[in-house]
Amino acid sequence: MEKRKDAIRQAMAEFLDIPRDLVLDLPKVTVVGRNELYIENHRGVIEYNLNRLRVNLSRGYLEIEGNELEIKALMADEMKITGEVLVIKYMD
Amino acid sequence: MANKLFDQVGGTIKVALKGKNQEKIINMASSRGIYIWDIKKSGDDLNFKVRTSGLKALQSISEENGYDLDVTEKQGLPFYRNLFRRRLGFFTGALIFVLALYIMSSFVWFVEVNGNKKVETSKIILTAAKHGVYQGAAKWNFSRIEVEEAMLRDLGELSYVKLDIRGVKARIQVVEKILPKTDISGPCHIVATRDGVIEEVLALEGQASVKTGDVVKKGDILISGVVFPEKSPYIVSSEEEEKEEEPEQEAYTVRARGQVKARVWYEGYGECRLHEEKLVLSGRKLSKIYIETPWKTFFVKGQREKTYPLYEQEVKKRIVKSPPGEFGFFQVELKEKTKKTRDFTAKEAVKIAREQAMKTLVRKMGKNPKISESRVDILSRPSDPILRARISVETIEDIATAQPINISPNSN
Repeated sequence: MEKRKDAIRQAMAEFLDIPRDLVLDLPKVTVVGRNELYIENHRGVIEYNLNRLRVNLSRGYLEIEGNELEIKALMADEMKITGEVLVIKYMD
Repeated sequence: MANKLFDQVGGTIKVALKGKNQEKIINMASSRGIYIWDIKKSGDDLNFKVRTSGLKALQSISEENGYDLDVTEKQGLPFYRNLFRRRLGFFTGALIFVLALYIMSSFVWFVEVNGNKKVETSKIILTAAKHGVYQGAAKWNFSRIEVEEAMLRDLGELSYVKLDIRGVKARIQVVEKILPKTDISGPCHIVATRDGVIEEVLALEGQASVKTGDVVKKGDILISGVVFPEKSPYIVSSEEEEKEEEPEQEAYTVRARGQVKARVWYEGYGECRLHEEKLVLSGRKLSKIYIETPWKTFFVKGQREKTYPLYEQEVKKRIVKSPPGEFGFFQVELKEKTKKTRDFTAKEAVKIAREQAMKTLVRKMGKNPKISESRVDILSRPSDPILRARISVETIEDIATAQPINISPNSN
């Protein structure tokens, strides 16, 4: 059932040319250089320390490795991360 | 970010969170709408910032879940209150100063009038005061345009009034009306303006009371405005007896008009010393600079001892007054003077004295009337050290001027 709903949504988004992050609740990750990272549509922080940050997503999670990581701003579905980013990894 | 300013106004608090699994608190805070930022781990602690309004909720969350929350830093306007309280005197002083400045500047402290020539300044100031513009008047108590209009109404001699408020100064600018000369319309005499010998009388209206060759004094009536009708000498009637029986015609008054030319004299006097001694600035000067303190005066610059036998002294001072006395510096300038003597020959002296006399004469005569005769008298004796000269001038000028006749019912 869920899968069918998703499929319909995806098809609609494709047909109507709507950004997928809005329709499908997908995360949107913006990386500015190596030191700035914006994540939209996140589902909270799973783990945070200076070298690793794991952000929960609607499906799976995002793992960021780096040095001196810092969450500059945190809102209900938006966050800004600064620090030296080395790896951005999608995990299931 | 854009809302940093609002953060400052509301105040922000930096906290340190202790305990394990601190991510839980982060998630709970953000899901409950508590805005947190600058999250950074340092050692075991998690440091972040929260708004003052969100601190209480955050504290209750961390307490419920068994975390320690320490406030490490306070920032923003609400936390300056302590500073404000400590320096209450300073801030009250500042406030009083601003208030005093505002209050003092909302009064008129000076009233200035310009543009008037005939109308007295005090009269204008008095009229302005009557309508609310006076020293110490509050600016909100009068309206500029209303005062201008009222002043124009009250002072008929003015054709324009402008009230200009510049800071604490009220500047009243006026333009006077140029009124036509009031001509005497009632009956009047023509009188003499100065002494003289009548040369010519031309009475256009009225009865001439002087004739050529008469000596008149200032104020004498030359052409009378009171006319006594005479019998015309041209009507020689045969019935003379009949006429004598007729009652005398009564005198009537007219506005006398006419021209009276008279020979008048002016005198001018001048003198010149044959031997003249004068002190003249030679152009050489010395300047000395001193510093003054209440205890001692120090010499700074210049030739201290040098002076001139004859000099003029000028002192320029820059002084600041203070409780212990006066501080400052002053400069003394000595200007050398030399004696200058001049000798005049008799001829030169006469010339100078004459020129001087002529000058005084011209001042007395005013506009140049025709000079018909002039004479120079040397009044001093040849042995005198001073030469005195007098110029007498004879001219012919119009000495007529109108003078109204006062007709009171009793005097006629």
